[in-house]
Amino acid sequence: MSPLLDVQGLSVTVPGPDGPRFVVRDVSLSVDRGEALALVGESGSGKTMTALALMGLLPYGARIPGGAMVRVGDREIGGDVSREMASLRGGTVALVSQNGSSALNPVRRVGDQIREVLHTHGTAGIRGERVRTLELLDEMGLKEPDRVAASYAHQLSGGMQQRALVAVALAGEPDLLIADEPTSALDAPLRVQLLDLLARLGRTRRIGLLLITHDFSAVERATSRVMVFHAGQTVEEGPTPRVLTAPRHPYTRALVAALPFGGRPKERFAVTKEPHEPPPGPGCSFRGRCPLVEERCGHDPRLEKVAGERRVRCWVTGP
Amino acid sequence: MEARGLTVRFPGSRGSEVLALDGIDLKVHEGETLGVVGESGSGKTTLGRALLGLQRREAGSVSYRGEPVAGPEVRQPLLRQRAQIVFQDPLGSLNPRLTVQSALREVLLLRGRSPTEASDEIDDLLARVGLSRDVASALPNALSGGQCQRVGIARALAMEPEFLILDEPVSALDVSVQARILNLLLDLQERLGLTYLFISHDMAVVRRMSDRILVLEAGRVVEAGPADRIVAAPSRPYTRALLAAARLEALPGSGRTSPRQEEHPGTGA
Repeated sequence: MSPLLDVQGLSVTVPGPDGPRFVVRDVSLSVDRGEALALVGESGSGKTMTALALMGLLPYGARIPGGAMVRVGDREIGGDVSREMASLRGGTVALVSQNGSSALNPVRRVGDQIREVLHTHGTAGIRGERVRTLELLDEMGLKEPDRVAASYAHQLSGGMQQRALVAVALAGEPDLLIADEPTSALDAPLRVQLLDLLARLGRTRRIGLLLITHDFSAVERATSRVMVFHAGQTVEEGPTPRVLTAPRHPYTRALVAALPFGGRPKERFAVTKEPHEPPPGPGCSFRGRCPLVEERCGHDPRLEKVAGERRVRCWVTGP
Repeated sequence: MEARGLTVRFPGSRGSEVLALDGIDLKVHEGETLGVVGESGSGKTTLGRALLGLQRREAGSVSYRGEPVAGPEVRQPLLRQRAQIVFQDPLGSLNPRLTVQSALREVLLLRGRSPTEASDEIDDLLARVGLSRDVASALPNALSGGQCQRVGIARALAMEPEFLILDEPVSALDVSVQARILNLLLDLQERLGLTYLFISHDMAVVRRMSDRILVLEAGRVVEAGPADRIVAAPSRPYTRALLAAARLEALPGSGRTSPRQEEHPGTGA
């Protein structure tokens, strides 16, 4: 069976002073039903642009150069990828953004926002929109769904807002959920709850999840595969536990080493050089920061298969 | 710094009141880091503000080196200079219309420096927080989150403080940037002998940065002690929940992350 989401050769350019500049280069990824894939990397790595392209929400001026192949279920997305994906949004593909307080409509009650989606997509079923609204809120673990449905966003706490946002997303019965830093406005205990909720949707509803984050504990908690971005390219991909315990690409290693878990009190963190524009010309985009850099890194490395269902883009640590 | 019975109450909706801090006792010793953890609404930010007298307290006392420092009976400037706050939102805490050097110059002139002295000191401050001189003429919105936070730290250091309240200083930053800022804070503490109150919801970060930890729940201290002990043997379910959220409970202190899921069988080389 074909995967739920299949993307081959996706690139994104933005206008620059010297013509279009690539912010995403030749990214391929797939998400199965019930599977959760994380896209991680620092700001500017291209993870968010990749997600925006897949949601049809690219900023003005950004383009997807030809040649990208995107398939959602059995539907082939040809022509204008961004526009076609936008037409699926809210239905087959739904999103959960970073900040519930700004993503929810401030002047409409939460329940009305859910009902609107149910109505637009005709997904309320025979029980009616009101009953389905309360069911959805209840399913999100919100106590007193009646009260939440009658509330405006500002009357809810940050954790409740994020759950309400997931309820709105689920109202359209999506097959794929794209979540962009859904937990960054929440603190630790609420993060765990929301991540567990997202992970549960994969198990119970077979929803595919694309999670964009820089938070590795979120990656570990909610996803089974992870794709690491650097300078617009995938530099490593594989099963989450393996990538996190035995990262292969020097960039992934640097990210994992910088995590605060473990270590002695007041022990300094392992850091790499500051991120900056990758060196011009061909070659590995990480070579300016890489501790393992060699002469051959001046040539473009390819994303190659290594053992354990993993791929890595590195001359030194690759196959 | 010492607080006894520190109590803060906010007006709530429909005439009700919220007890934000409920009789907090704490001591911060010179040169140490006291970590304060708790979920949102636990009172950690209010605590930082109340210690500096930025938040009116209803009851209790705060003293710094034995002298009362907050309250109607005390003039503020003494503490304002010796203690500074670094805020969570690095961009939001800077004036968007002031360049980095103007923001720092303002503080230095307030401290009575001549314009020439101020210019020299700005260079020193930027170097101290690891910023290149190129950023001096930049406006905050042209800087990255990490650079903004370095400016926030430089601005606090411009007052030559002894005591820094760090309120979620890295929560908004990417992991690699976060690591560099935390290293900077550790280096500054060592070099300048600073005392820190480190506020965060992230137990992993707090434990790595702190000598002692104080756990806040609904405005009360529910657990306090040496960082290692709190992590190794938390006595409260609430603390365990915070640890679990930071994913520390499963770690044998190896410095490695540990997988939650089982390794996929049959995928080895």
